[in-house]
Amino acid sequence: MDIIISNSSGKPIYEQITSQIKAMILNGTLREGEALPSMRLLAKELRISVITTKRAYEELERDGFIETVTGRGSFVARKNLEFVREEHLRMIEEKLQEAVDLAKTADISLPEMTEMLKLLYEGE
Amino acid sequence: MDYAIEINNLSKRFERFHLNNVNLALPKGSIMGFIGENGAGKTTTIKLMLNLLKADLGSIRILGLDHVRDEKKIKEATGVVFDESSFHENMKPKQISKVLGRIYKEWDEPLFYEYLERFRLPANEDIKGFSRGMKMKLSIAAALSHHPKLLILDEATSGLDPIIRNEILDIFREFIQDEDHSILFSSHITGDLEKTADYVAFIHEGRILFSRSKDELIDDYGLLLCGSEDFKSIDKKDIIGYRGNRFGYEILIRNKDQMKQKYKGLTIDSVTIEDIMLFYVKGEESI
Amino acid sequence: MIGLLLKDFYILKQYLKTMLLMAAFFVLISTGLDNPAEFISGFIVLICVMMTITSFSYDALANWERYALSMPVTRKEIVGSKYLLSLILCLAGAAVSFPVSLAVLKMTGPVEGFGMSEYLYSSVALISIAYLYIAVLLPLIFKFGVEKCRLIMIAVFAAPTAALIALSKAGVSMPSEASLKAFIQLLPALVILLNLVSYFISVRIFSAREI
Repeated sequence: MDIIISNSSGKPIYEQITSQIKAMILNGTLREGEALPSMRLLAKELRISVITTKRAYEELERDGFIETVTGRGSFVARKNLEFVREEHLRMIEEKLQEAVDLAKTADISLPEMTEMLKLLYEGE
Repeated sequence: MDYAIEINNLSKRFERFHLNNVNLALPKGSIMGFIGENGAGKTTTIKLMLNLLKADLGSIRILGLDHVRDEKKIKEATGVVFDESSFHENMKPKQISKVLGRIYKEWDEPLFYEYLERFRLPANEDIKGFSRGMKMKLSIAAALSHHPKLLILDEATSGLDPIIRNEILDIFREFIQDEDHSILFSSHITGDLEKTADYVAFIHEGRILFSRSKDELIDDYGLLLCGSEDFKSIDKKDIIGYRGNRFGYEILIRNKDQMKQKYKGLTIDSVTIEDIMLFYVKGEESI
Repeated sequence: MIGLLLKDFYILKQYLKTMLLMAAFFVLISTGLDNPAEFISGFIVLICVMMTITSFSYDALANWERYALSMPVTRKEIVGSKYLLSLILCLAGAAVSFPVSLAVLKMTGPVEGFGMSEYLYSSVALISIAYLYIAVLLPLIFKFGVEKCRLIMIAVFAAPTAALIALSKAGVSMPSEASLKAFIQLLPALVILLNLVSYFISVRIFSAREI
């Protein structure tokens, strides 16, 4: 399992952790029931505060990605298809927002964008 | 016991210095960095905790116990490292082990020797020949070898090169893997704190100015940058401290998100703990 | 407390070697003196007293006190270990000076009017005075620290000597040998008692001290 933290990315560290773990769960790198490293171990290895890793895990749990059992650790939650779909939608929306912001800056119209999207979706 | 250290309303008056109403709480399982300028009261607070000095007012509980009544019990479970080596120059580490073995109930000699090896410290040579970094590592080895629950370090890393300091910070992180372990370390090297601390307490002229989780601190505080004209329109209430130069101003502010809304158009940078310390201290002078 | 004693023995080991060399030198000199046995006893006991005081100096140099108090060691134990140390050193000194003096005596031949019993009495007197010195000095060291006490040390040593000289000059007659001997028989008990009192005083002083 790889987690890369960047100090200069502007994104808060706990968020970097949650998005990376979410991605790994969604693409199957982390399987259902698999144990995650303890908050303390993660903090030690990444050289960050335990409070940060705790916050990341709490958020992952709140969003339904993991389950924490006191005394035993944190584990990848059973995949709920509905909810996986929701997460994917959220990620796509994020990326589309990026594209839209860029388009507006570059003065590219909505019809142009829709055209581009259609081309991309329908394949090479 | 949720807190490794609980200090309430601690006060002590000296001739030229007054430790005033200090409140400090270190949750079990965490690392707290205790920062402040030289002479701000860090060492005084630690000495009061260890009953080297007597408080005028206030209470101190360590590991859930009263710091005077249960002094011996607390000290069995506490490892202390001071800023200078406390061992006699003509002693050898193996002799120190014999001495400490008679003092601490849980002295673990094999563990001590393991640390000696790990830190590459010769067991059979006089400490006189040790470098400053080696002496510090020896003190840390001694502090860890009686299985303490709490580590207290007073400026233990000052004067050490970055490589050794990082080694020591790694040891801290290792120590804290056990949830029952806690660390209080005072330092004016804020960089070390940025890397390791969960909580930061800032003491200035005998008073605690803030004591919070480090993440919260970094999220909350910011550095507002503006030119001389804009500076005049900044609300004085928002300025914690500032630094001006011929070409503009840097202002320490809190509630970063709110401030971003209030002062749209002005840049607000992230802040380091060193900045916070600097601006709090300088701020009092300039305002 | 054993740990603290052990620490003192370790750090005094080297100092001891220097002292032994000096002692050997003085023992040689003493062969040229009138009464070598007394001189040797006095000297060896003096070394032992100095060693106790030196242990304080070494502690101060290493900033040991504040470290010791960060460990499960009570202030009482710190004080007690020093008194115990001084007692052990005084007794050791006495034990060593006896055979050494005998050896020197064998070499230089017997001294006029100074037989075995005289030697014993003077030895006991010397050790007791040394131990008395400790009783006076230690509370002062605990109160003021060893550095500030250096001047006091000399004063405490010189004052009684000066007083005695002044007294004899003033024509006050020295007590008879018999009464002196009687007094010396009581001396050890007296001195031990004084040390006990001194111990309690030191504990009080040290308990109140801020480090």
